[in-house]
Amino acid sequence: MPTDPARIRSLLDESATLALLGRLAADIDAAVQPDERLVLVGIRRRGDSIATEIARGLAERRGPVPTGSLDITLYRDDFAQVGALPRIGTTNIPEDISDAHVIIVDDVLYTGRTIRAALNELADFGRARRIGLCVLVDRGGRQLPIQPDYAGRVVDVPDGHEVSVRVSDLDGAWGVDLVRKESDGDGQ
Amino acid sequence: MKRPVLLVGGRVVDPSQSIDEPRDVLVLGGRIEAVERGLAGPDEAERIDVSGLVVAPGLIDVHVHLREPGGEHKETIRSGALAAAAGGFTTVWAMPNTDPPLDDPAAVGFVRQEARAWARRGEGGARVSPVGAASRGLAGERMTEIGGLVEAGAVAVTDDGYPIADPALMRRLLEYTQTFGIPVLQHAEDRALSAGGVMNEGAVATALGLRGIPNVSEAAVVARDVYLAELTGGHLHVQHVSTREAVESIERARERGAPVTAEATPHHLTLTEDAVRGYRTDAKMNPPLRTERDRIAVREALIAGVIEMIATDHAPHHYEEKEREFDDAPFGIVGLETALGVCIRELVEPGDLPLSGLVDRMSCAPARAMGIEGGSLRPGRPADIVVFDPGEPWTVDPARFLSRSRNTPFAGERLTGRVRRTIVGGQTRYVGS
Amino acid sequence: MSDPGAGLGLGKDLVGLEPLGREQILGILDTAEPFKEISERQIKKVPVLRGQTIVNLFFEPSTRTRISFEFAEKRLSADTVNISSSGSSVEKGETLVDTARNLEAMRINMVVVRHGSSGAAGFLADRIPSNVINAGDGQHEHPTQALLDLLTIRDRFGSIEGRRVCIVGDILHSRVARSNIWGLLKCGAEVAVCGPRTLIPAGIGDLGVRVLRRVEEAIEWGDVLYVLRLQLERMKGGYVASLREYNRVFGVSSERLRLASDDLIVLHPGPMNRGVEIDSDVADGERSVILPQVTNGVAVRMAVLYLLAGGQPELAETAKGGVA
Repeated sequence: MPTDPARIRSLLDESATLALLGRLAADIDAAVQPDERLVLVGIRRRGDSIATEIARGLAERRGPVPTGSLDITLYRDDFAQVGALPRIGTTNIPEDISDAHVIIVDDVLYTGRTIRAALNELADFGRARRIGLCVLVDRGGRQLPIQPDYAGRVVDVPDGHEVSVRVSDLDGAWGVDLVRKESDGDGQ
Repeated sequence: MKRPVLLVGGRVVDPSQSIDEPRDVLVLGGRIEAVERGLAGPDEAERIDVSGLVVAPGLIDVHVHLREPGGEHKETIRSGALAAAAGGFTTVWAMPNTDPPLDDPAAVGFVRQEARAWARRGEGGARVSPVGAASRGLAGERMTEIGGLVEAGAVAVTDDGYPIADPALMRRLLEYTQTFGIPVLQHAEDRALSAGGVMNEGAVATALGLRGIPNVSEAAVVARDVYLAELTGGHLHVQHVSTREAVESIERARERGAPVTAEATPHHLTLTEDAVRGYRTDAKMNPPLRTERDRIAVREALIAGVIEMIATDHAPHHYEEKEREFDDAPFGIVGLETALGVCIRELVEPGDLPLSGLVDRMSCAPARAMGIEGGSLRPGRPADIVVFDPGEPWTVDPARFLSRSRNTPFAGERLTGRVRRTIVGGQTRYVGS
Repeated sequence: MSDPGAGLGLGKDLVGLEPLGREQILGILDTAEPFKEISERQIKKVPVLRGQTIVNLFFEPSTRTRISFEFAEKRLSADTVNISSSGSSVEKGETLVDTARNLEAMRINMVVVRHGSSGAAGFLADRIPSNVINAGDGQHEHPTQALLDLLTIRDRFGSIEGRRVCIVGDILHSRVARSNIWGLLKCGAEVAVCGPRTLIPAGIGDLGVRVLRRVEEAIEWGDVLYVLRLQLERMKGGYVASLREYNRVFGVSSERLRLASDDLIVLHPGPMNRGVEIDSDVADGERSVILPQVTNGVAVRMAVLYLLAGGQPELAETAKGGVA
C-alpha cells in the first residue's frame, strides 16, 4: 500500500537492520545449547522472512536450523470484530516440534495477541520442550503477559504512529521505519 | 321502487351502438331509459356528475373463481362480487371447482341464491351467474345433468381447473349443450404433458430447476377441440389462451366459421415467464406465463378480435398458501380489481387499441358471444354501467383490495384507469374513493 | 450473530453460484487452499468459529454431504446440530416458514439446508437473519459441490480458464449440473452436456452450453468428464428404458476412454452406481479424481463457512495495525 513518503521516518537502514539480525542470531546461538534441537518458526508475514535471515546467521555458527512459517489468521481472538480475512496464508511446520526448542520469530511485538495466537496454534502441532520468542522490534503496549527472550530494538512509538518493518523478499530491502498514520485532516 | 339516476356530463363509450361522445344517461326502473345530450331527468332523479369520466356498459368477466362453498378463507360469493364491482364488473361467471363442486342443481342454485340474497340486502356487488360442472365431481368421466343445472341457473358448463380430457366426452358435451344454447368452457391442458409442471417449459425453468409445462400441452387440446366444435356445431369457448399455437388454431377456426370463441387474461397479455424469477409464487398460474413470442401473439390476436374477449381467471388464494416453496404453492392470481387498469396501460395507452375497442373486449363481446344480457347501454337494457377515469394513474396496494385475497403480481405497479362507480340494475354497487 | 458482506462481498448467504462473479468464485477457491493443510494436521481443528452454532437442516436424506459439512464445521470448532426431516412441509405439517421462524427464535448463527424444492434455500435465506448455505435445493443449485469440483479441476490443471468440461448424464434433474455450469462458465471454461435427449432440459443452449449427442464425442472433445449419477426413478418416469440400456449407450468405460486425450480426468459427485454410469475400473483408475473431490469438499466447505461467518474486510486492514 503506497504511503506518502512525507509520513515515513527511517529508524534503521538496511545495513543497520541486517546488523541487528546478525546480533540476534548470535544471542540465540549463545543461549541455546549445542545439543538442543532448535526450530525457528516465523509468523507470516515478514516474521518468516526474518526467521529465514536469522537461520542463515545461525547456520554459520551451528549448522542448518529448520525454519517454518505460521499463519495465525484462524487463531486470532478478534474474529467477531474483524471477520473473515480471505487471504489466509499457509502454515508450514517442516519438523516435528515435539521435544524441540522452538523460537517464535516476529517483526514487531506490540499487544502480544499475535504471539498468544501463535502459541495456541503451535500447541496443535505438538508439545515443544521449550518455546522462546525473538522479535526485531519491541514497541511496548502489551495487553497480555508476554515478553520477548530476544529483542532487537525497543522503540517508543508516539501517538498516531506505527512501526513498519521492511523485508527484502517482500518489500525490496530491509529496514525499520516509523510511519505517521493517515489522519482526517490529511486532505482528500 | 328504485330511484331514477341521471349521469351527467360524461363521455359515453358504447361500441354496441357505435357511440363515443359526450352524452347523458338516464336510468329508470333499473333499465336504461335514454342516452342523449342534454338530458333532463325527472325531479326525483339522483343527479350524478360524471364530467371528465367515461360511461360504458358494465364490464363482464366470464371466468372467475369465487371459492364458495368450501374455500371461504380465500373468497366468498359476497366478497368476490364486491371485488368485481370495484373492478367495474357488473356480471361475473363463477367457476364450479368449489368444494363441493357445482355439479348438481342444489349447489348451482345455492350460488345464484346467495348472490341475490346479498343484493336484496343492499350489500351486493356484480351479478353472479354460476357455471355448472361438465362432469360429475369434475372427474372427467360422466356428464352432469346439464338440464337440471341450467334450470338451477347455470349459464355454461366447464371442468375448469381441470381439462375435459376425454375427446369422446368433449364431443358429447358439445352436442348435448346445444339443447340449452350454452357454451362448453374448456381449460385446455394435456395433463400427461404438463405432469408435475409449475411454470412454462424453457430456459427460465431450466435455470430455476423447476419442471416446465410445454406449449403443446395447451395447443394440442385446443386443436382437437376446434375440430370437435366443427364436427358437432356446439359452442366451444377456449379459456385463458396463452400460446401462439392455440392462437393459430383459433384463427383457423374463425376462418372456417367454426363455433369457437376465446378469452385472454390481462396477465397473459402483459407478463412473461421472466416474472417467475426469484421463485415468485405470485407469478405462478395455470396456464403459466409464457415467452415474449407467445405474449405478443395473444396480444395481437386480442387486438385484432381473433380472441374476442378479456377474462381475468380471478383465482384467490390465502396469503399462507402462496407463502411457500414454489412447487407447493397453488396456481392462480386475483385479477378483478386490476383488470381495467392493466388493460388500459398495456393496450390503450400505447395506442394499440382504442378505448372503445377495450370496452368491446371487456363488455360487448362477452355479452354478444356468450348470450349475456348486458354489454350495451341501448335503451331498454338493464342499467349495468361502469363509470371510470381512463387516464387516472394509481398504484396497486393489495391491502386495499375488497377481495379477501392478495395474490397479485401487480403489487406496487402503476396502472392507468380507475373505476369511480359501478351500477348494477340501476343501483350503485360501488363508489371509488 | 454474523455480519453480511464477507471479504469477497458474498453477502449473508450462499444460495447458488449463478449470482456470483468470477472473482468471488476464484476467491472462495483461494480461501480453501489453507484449509486443505489443516485437514492434513494431526489436530484437525482451528478455533475460528468457536462458540458459533450451526444447524444442518436436511429435509432430504444425505449422508455424504452432511458428514462433509459436519467435518468442516467441527474442524472450525463450531457447535453443530443435525436436524433431519423427511417429506415436504405439507406432509410434515410444519411449513418452511414456521421452520424458519423457529430457527430464528433459537438464535442460530448459520444454517446449512438441503431441501427437495427448488428455491427453498433462497426462501429460507430471505426470512431469517442467520447465514444460509444451500446444500442442495430441488433441481436448482448445489453450490458447494460445484466449488469443490472447480477446485479439483484447478488442482489438476492449474486453472479453469479454457478447459473443456463435459457433464454427462441426467442433466434435467441435476442441481449439481446447474451449479457446475454457472461456476465453469464464469471461470472461463467451455461447457458441454451429454446424455439421453429425454434428460437434457429445454433451453440449455441459452445458458451458453453446447449439447453433445454421444458420450464418445464428449470423451474426444473434453479435458474433463463430469459423470452424474443416474437415479432409479428415471426408469419409472420413462426417460430411459433400463439401467443396462443407459450403460450400453452412455456408460463411461475404459474402452470408451481410449478415445480420450492423455490428461482427461473424470469426476463424479457421488454416490456412484458402479456399472451404470461409470465402470469400476474407471472410478478406481488413474484418471479418476473422485477421492480428491471428497477431500476438497471439506476444505471448500470450511472456506465457505469461514467467509460467511465473518465479514468486514475494511476492519481487517485497520485492525492489522493494532494486533501485533
